[in-house]
Amino acid sequence: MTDSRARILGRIKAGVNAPNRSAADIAVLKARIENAERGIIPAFTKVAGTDVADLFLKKAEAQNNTVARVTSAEAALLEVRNFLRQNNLPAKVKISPSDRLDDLKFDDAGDLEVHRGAAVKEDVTSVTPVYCAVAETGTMVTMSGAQTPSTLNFVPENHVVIVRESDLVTAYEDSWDKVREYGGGKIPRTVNWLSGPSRSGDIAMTMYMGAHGPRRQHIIFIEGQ
Amino acid sequence: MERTARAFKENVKEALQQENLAGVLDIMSKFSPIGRNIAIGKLPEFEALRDDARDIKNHVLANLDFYLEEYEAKVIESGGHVHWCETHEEARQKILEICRSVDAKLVTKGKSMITEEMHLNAFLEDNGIIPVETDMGEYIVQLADEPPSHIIGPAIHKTKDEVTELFFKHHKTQRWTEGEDLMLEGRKILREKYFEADVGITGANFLIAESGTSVIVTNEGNGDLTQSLPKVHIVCASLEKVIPSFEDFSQFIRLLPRSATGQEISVYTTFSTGPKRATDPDGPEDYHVVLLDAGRSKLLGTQYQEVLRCIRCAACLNHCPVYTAVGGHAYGATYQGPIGAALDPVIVGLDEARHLPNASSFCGRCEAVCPVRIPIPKILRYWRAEAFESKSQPLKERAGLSLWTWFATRPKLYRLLAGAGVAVLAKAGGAKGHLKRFPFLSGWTNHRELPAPEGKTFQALYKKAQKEKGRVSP
Repeated sequence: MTDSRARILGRIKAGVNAPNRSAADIAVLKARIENAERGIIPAFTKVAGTDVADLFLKKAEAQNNTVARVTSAEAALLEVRNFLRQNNLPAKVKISPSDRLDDLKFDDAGDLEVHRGAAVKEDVTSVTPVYCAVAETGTMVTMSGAQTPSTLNFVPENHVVIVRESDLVTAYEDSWDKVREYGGGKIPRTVNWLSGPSRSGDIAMTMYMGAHGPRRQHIIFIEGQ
Repeated sequence: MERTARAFKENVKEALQQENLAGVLDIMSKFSPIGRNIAIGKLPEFEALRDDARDIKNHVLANLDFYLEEYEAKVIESGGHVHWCETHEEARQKILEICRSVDAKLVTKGKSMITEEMHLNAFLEDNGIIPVETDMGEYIVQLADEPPSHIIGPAIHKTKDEVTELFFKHHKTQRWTEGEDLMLEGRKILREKYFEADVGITGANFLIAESGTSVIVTNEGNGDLTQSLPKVHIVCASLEKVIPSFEDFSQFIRLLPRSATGQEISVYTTFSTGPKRATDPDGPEDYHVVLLDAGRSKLLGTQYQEVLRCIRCAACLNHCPVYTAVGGHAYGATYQGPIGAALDPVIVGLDEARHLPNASSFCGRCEAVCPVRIPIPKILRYWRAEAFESKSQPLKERAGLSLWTWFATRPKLYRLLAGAGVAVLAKAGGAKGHLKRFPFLSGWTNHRELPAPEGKTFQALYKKAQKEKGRVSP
């Protein structure tokens, strides 16, 4: 406990009249954090059924993601190959060491070179799962962890994201409920919201893609899973 | 060249002579409001969200000590450290101490206005550590040895040609002229730095008390590379950034990108909580938060408190007739535009920043677009009054105001003189009704003609009209 801390808190407490806060007041404040109530959620997010996927994909495309809809894990792996071929990329991917990608059967992918782990400078294309995805703005939520290194989201120039229909939630608040479920209230080191490929408007107020993170972000959406 | 807020008037004169600057500000002032309008037009709940955000911030400020202590406890619980710093100097020293603890040579930096406040780059250089800005706009102004001229668009004043020359001078590769090539060049250079850096420093748009989490909102991904690749992550944040929960955050994130750039959502929104966990394959080994006061705590309970609601979207800059005429450098302080004029007196002192609250026509657009409804014109008025009361203005200005006050508090005399003045100006305007020149009005007439009054004061005309209607004027 430093003197600065005490002095800063002292000034704040004096400014906000904190000495008058009762034990009951403090209980109310603690409850305000622990049982945080939802605020205003936009009406357009209140969709259900297949409309959720439609909203998610529409928003994701509007943010310059490219999107492929498939109906099986096998088709998803084919789409990974398609993506590499169409963009003239090497047949080599760094994937998350995640069991959420097992059903894509990367190990049986023949001529596709597959590595697992955190990203290194040389990685050109990554493939990752998401923890969940928010239809509200086409935003994908990933969390750091043993199976999901966060650098795979940012280092490679091309990021292929596998999103399943069951990953979808409608509004941000629903994603937080899911994140809290994950570690019994404990938040992982980083939660990343990814809403499109990297860009910057810092050169002459014109938007150019691929400032630092991925220049391409390709969503492979598996329906019915 | 270092500009100062004290020299605001000279800075403005200089800025108005720069044709390139006028061009970019013109484009910005036309397109930024359109982008914002389109984005909020698609969200009927926008106004209600603004109310909500204002209320959340007010609630936090009224209980700031509680939320900061809760936040701190959670950071510690997740393995991080919080360093409370009263002054810029204390924060600089703390950052240096952390850098030295890992023998840092190279530091990458995500965008952080707090580090601009503390002039961190110059300080690190003086101490043998190389800081590299990684936000593309911040990188450009770092190469140019200039401060940012806009809160979220640091290099908004630079044309493409200027970036071409800057990159060529510093990178000595090729004179790229296309924007896309320039971006790729910047990407290539900075990419190496992320991997070499020993420490990554970022700012924070929000601190979340619920979990001890810091949040950055970006489009480039530079902040993520900055904080996930080096051994140490230092977050620089000011006290008022704390909010209670992720539910509260969800309200703000629906306002911030829409207000700032007209985007529905930023590309990257990153939530960081502590250092890497035991089984994590990547991430920093240490996580520090430098929590800066620098005058903010003194605003609590005062008429200036509301300025602490700011979420740094820069909508007030984009909509301000003064900012869009003179640009950000003229302000000569860390924050520009209306919010800068309201905040800089706290950061650098009213004596230094006393001109800035006058850099306003009180048109009210800043308040009209502020996502957290800060009554900026009201706060600027408070600063003006304080500057007058504290006698920080020069004698000439004070004497002028005193003279005016003397007349204004003597209505009969004031009306008599105003009537005479208006009559003289009307006569001087002649048939055209415009003045080309007039004593003491050269500030106006050097650039355009002054429309002459019609011949009678408003009060006289009003009185006459009331009389004609048969009413007795008050």
